[in-house]
Amino acid sequence: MDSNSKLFKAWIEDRISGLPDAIVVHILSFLETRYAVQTCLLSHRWNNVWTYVPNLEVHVNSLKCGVDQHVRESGLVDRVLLFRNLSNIHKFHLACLGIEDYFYRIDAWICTAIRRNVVELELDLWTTPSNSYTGLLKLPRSIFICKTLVVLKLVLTDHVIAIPPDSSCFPSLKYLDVQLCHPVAAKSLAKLFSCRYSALEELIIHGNIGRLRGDEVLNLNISAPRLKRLQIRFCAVPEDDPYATDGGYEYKIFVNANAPNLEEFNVKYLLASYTLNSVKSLSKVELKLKGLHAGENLYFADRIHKLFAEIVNVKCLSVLASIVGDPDIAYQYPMPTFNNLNQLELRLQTCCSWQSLPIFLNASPNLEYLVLENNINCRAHGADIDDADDGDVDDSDDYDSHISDNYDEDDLVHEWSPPRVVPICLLSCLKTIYLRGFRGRSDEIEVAGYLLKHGKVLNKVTIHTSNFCEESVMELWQTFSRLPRGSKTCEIEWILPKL
Amino acid sequence: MSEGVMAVVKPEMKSYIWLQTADGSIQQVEEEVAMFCPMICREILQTGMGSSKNYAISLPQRVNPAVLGLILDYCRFHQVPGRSNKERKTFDEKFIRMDTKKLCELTSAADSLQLKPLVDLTSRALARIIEGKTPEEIRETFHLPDDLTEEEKLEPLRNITDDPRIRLLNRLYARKRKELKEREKLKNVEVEQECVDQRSVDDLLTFINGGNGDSKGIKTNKSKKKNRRRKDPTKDSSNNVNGNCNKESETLSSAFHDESRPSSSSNLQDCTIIDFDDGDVDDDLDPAMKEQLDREVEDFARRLNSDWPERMQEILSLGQERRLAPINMNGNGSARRYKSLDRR
Repeated sequence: MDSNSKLFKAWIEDRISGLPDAIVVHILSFLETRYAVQTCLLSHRWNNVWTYVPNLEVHVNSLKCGVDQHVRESGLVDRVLLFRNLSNIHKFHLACLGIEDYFYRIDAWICTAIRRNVVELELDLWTTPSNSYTGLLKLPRSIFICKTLVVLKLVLTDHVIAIPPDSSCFPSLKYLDVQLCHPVAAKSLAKLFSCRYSALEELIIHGNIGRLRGDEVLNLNISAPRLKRLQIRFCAVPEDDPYATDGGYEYKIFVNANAPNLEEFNVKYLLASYTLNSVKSLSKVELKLKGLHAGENLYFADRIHKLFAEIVNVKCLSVLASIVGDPDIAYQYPMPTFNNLNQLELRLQTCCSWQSLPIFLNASPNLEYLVLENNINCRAHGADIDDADDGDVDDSDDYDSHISDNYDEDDLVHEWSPPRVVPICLLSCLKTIYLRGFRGRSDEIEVAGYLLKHGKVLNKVTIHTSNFCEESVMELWQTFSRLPRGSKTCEIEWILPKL
Repeated sequence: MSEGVMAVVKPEMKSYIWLQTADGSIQQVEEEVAMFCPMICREILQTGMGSSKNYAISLPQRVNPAVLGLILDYCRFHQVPGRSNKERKTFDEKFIRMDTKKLCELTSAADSLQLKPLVDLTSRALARIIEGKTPEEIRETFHLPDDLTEEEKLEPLRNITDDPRIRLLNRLYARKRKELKEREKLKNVEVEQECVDQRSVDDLLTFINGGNGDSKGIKTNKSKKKNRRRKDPTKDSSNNVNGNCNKESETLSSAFHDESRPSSSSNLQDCTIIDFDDGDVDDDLDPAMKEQLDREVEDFARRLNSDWPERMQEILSLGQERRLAPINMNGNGSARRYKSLDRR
């Protein structure tokens, strides 16, 4: 009787089993597969719900325990693949630490997933660290000809490579994310792109390619006629010595993208030589080149100038490249005119001058929306590889680094020298200005004052200040309300940091 | 957020929608909040209901007034377009803090209203609760009835390690691993790669095939030199190797599905007979026998691969009748859709 009443009580209180199967499967699909499978032990109702989960999330780690443990784990994966319902696998995420121990199985697992019409495949395959393993895991050929694969994320190392078998591959692949883990042979990366990606719409390459030895040159020829978004976020820095005098190997990297429909282009870290054949289509470009300072090698100035020429028709531009503010470079490499530029986000590091502001304003006659971000933390050359490389890193997180650190602020002279001629966009079209990372220094107030005074069609100026103290904000507010304004309809809005 | 400019509040004529829950109670909700739910939105647009108390929209049974309140709070926050991702995330994290019973009710209700973002949010929360717990703990948390017999509970655990095919496969892999390690040690010695690997695979195939007398392995495919490769293999040989590896894994996997073969029971017996002790490398075979076994194995593999889908159906229906309870699934049984920008 006791067990009966217990069952009855459970029947009353058990809510989760009452959910429809589709929802239970949906819940299990967020779990790592081993936990989803474990639910078959819960009660009769849960007996084989796990077999309907269309996603497989497999984490195997040969460092964890002895041989016995990882043999059992692989046995579990084999069994899951065997006894699962025949329905297709929607997403397969295989995270393996110690590919030398799971070598043959990895291939079998991937092939099985492909046979079950996998749509999204994510492969995180790593060798155990400090391992003298010299083998090479080549991703199976069936990946490249899989008709159902739409999303692929993989990691290329010197032990894991992916070489397409012929000139046309991935017939349905729309999203490709490649992470490079030093040291990757540049050749193997180039080979990955040796075929035509007929359906690809978004490509992300990130990580660190490491040192490019000797005469080695990386030619990335990306052929993707439908490509809409391209993100190049990898660096070329020897991981064992990021401060090496021979620095980054960007000068040896050439990215040649045949992407006539490219809409968005993001570059972080890497100032390679870019050729994009997307003159008309580009709408949004983001350049984040933190390590590139004034006084750098003129070679970089040349490259960045070439890059600006490539993206000259862009509508929205976000730039973090202090090198632009270098007056010598500005003189030698005049900025092209961005006729279509409607929105500009100019991000200035603590070490750079205000010079880039008039340069960009002069180059954008049709600018309507300006975001000016100031006081971005600047570290020594090449040291930014430890930036968190998240796909969706919210750059507003940089605010935390606006708090001054070791860099001695007094040494930096920030001077605002107003241009001789007021930029056209200020007079005719600039409607909204957004100032971020504002500290209330005298030069910042001068700049803001200049913009307010000459901005004849300004509607709104929003100032996001990093000052915490109420009084200083009140002072600022008063100072600002006394500044002359060129536009009668201009409002000023203040945003304080959240505590 | 303090603003330097006073916001001017304009008196607006807000419109309301009337909703009726299963217990009969009616409440009114701001239109834009209610419209955030796809099901309500559809009702309004298609049938025109909800504009007055008499024509209140009846909500599905799974939505009781308490849960409806929660859902409306969610909608009220999220339907405001100007919010940043961070704000939404923070709200969600706070919102989801409730006991599991309520969470389940909320999931159920959100599903019936087709409010997918909320379904995802609650499902993830429930998944997080389940994750990492032992079955007993999960049963405790959710008050699940403990209605499996002790035997049934042990079954899956036992099967994972005791399934003879899995055990066999483990042994084969262990063997390969060991040989790999030995080869690594003897790096300087140029030994002709004898494909002891291949033999193991064929062992398996012949074993499952009905034990064609001699279960000693033979060489069929070309040697797998994968592990000794330098970093830049030539394209031809690498493709070859790759292709071989593929084929082998395919035959391996397909071989496993062969549950219904009549000889399988006798194979269990054979399993103990075949000597799988490590280091047992036996090479002296009659070449003619070798050839024959070669052909048989290839034939077998081909047959398996060609009518594999039908066999699978057959095998599964036989093998799983014990376990399979009818489950009603919608479509492909998944509530998840592919999102093209699924960021990590």
